Amino acid sequence: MDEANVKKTFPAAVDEFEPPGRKHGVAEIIKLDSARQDMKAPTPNDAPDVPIDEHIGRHLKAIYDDVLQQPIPARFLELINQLGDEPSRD
Amino acid sequence: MVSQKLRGDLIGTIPNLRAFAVSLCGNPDRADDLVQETLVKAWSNLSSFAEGTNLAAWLFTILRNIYYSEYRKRRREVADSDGAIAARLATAPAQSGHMDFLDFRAALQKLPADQREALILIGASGLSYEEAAGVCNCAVGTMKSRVNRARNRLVELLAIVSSTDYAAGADWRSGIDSLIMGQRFSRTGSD
Repeated sequence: MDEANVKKTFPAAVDEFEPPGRKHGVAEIIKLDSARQDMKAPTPNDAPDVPIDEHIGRHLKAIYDDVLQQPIPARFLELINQLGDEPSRD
Repeated sequence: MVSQKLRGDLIGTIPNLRAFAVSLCGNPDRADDLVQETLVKAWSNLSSFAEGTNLAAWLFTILRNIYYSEYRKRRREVADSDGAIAARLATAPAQSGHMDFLDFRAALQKLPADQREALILIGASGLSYEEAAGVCNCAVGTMKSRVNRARNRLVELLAIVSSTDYAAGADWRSGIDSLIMGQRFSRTGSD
């Protein structure tokens, strides 16, 4: 998925330089947790937290792209060929 | 008679189908089986596909429908109850001081399926809100609220774990109580 869609999903997300060694944005997560102590129920209108949304967006894309860039397993190509060889039903 | 172009387009969607299926199932082998079933079903229904419309979205819809009809049969395999999640945490090694303990993938799998799929469709697959709503057979507003709930729930799952000290010797059970409290606080029904 491209940047345009990331920004559409999390409008406040911007590109930021991530210091080396900060693997999961722990600082932002802990900061958000202490801000959450007042137990305010999140609503759909809450402004997105920029570092968190960036973190989530990046992980979502990584999980998805991890599979996306794999070569297509042979079983599926064989399946399409097999399906194509069957007598036409139309 | 299936056109060469359509056959090529179909093959071209397979990586996306696999990626979506893996996020839905949480299991790569089950995901590929799901994709296989999807392709077979799609092929037999190709006459109902209007060429020129979004092929990937159409296939996602088929895949999703198969997943939910199987999902209902295999409910026991899905750990989405408080007890099951607590039980999983209770067996975790206490000496792990890692923030990775409840990693992103695991947290994603703990979301209700409708929230998880919304987050993946909107946040990773490139579909628009309108297309994703079409795939999930819901209103655009519903899709938006699922994405928001999924995001908030994910944040809580990740934040609660990271704020609890899992260093060797620490009482990790208090982390479980926080997690369960957090779940009760944020528990939302599906649409």
